[in-house]
Amino acid sequence: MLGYQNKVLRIDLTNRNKSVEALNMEWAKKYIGGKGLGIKYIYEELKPGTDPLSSENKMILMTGPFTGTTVPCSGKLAIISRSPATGTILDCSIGGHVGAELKYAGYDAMILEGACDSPSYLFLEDDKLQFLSAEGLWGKGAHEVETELQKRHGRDSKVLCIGPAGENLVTMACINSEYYRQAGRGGIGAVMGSKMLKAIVIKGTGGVKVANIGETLNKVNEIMRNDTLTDANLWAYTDGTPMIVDMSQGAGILPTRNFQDGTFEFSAGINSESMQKSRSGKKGCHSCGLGCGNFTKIGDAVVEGPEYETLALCGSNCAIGDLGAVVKFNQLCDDFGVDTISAGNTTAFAMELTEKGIKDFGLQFGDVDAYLAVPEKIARKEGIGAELALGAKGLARKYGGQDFAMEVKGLEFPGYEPRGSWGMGLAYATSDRGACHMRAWPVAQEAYGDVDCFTIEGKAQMVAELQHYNSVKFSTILCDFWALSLDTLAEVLNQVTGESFTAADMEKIGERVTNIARLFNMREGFRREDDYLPNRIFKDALKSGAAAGKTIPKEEFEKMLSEYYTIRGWEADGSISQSKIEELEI
Amino acid sequence: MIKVQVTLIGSLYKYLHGEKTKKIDFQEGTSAEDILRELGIPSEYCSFMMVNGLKAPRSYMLCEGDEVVVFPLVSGG
Repeated sequence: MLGYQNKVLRIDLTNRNKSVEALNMEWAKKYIGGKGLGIKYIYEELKPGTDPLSSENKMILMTGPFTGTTVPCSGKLAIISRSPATGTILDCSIGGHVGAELKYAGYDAMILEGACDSPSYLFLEDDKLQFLSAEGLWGKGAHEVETELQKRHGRDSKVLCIGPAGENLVTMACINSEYYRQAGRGGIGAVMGSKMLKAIVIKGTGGVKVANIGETLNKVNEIMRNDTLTDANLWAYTDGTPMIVDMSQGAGILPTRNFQDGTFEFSAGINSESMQKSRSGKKGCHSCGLGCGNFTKIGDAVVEGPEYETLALCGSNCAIGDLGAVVKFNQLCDDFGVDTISAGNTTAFAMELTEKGIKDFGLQFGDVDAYLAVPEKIARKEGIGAELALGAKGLARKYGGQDFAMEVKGLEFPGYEPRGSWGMGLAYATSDRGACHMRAWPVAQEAYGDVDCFTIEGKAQMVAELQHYNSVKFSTILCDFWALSLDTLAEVLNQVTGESFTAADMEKIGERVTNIARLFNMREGFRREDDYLPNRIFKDALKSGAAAGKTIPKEEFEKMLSEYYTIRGWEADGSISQSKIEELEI
Repeated sequence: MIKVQVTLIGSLYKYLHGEKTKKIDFQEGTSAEDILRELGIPSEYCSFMMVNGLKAPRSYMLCEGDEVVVFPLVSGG
């Protein structure tokens, strides 16, 4: 298949060796690349029960056939491992240009094994790999490290690095690139920190060969004109994800005060209109015409963002309506290398524990000063930060409040209130890496669309289909902002690879990827009881807005979950039978 | 006639000739969906409408002084 470099760079950090091997093309035909192919490699290579923070865990950087080409919205890199936050499979995706750079260096994937014996970083320049000391970089923030490494290796090099949170094995640590892009969730930064790897610097000078260059370019032009740069899509450029703040407020699903409510009285302070007044720049990822990155500068703080998730979790969910404070919090999280979703959610949980008198963290809803000290404290595990670094689940286990610790499998909820969009509840419960909005996003049809939000009818099918769709899209790899059809996806893939995939093949690959992720989790002991939602969702009605008075009745949730397993052909306990594995040719 | 404030979000503002918000007179009995038709916005470009700060169905019948916000189709998250 074209579009691939047919090469994997395997790096043994313990012995400071590298080897180059052929990409497993049999697997590539079945899993494409990115999420799917990365999970297949991890599934086959990782021993069951591997401690995520041990040297036995692996971390894979995986590209796809579109990476490095002109296919729109293909600037993502997948990073796959076992999550230290959840113990599940973990695949993250990071934007910017680093994925294309790895491809230009000549590789489809980089597999990192073992661990360095002292703080180190890697410099890959085409086929030349250097193991370099990170002395002088260890302990520094991600922003300073990226600036320094580009000074050493050239402005044209691309950097993946961690902040102090990753070094200190905080299980909500992220990996940064281009200052403000993150592989954010599940503690992937802690996996890198456990390997004493501060950064990976990549410089590539090659290209990517596609099967049919003329037809690929024609197809790219056609879809740019008709399917990408359209009035329906260009909100990503004009507003970006902050547009969703007003939509969530209107639909009553904007997380507020640790998910105690679905509307926030100061939402206008953190919405897109408010952000546009402080916009200082724009940016797009490799091969993207949408350019959703918005720089916001308020006072001495500047970030690319904040994105919707940050505005929701670190804004309304902490009762912070001051955009300047959210921008500062966001910048601190990025620099210290902390995931804003988990940090915002856990901070809000600590605020509620304080409010209820269960444990005083000195954090109050809406109190900016104490809130702004949180990212550094978490990253350094200092003071209350040592507690908050446990995440919402760990904190609840220690102090109580499990009913309102808003997490699934140890991963904190993102920015959509499921009581106002019941399919989203199922999506959180069944997502392969814990509560996540990137595995299925039914709010688009429910809360932001015309489908009834407050029924389970049709939701199991909807969530399963959306999971397949995202699984195959993130395996090719494309950004989730481009909502192309599976027919178009297959057409583009065929021009690039020279194969003859159909839309039905795409659907099947999506199902296969969803199932192998579930198989990994099953092997680690995850079952139906792990596909839960916090009791708050079942017991406490929302107080205001379009979803006021709503819960998801527990028996309805259980019914929806059973229906979902049936649709998937899974067992009643959520496991996958041998016959299903054979049917999907996993 | 009733006067309604219409705000178009994202790239949809071009359907108000570059203005984002405008007060427009409509016939009584006009629905939220009718606004799309009257402004020439393809129905499939809009996913979500809000009236007076709350999500509203397209069948919502407009009243004097309503503030309507029209959002484009969203994807991602």
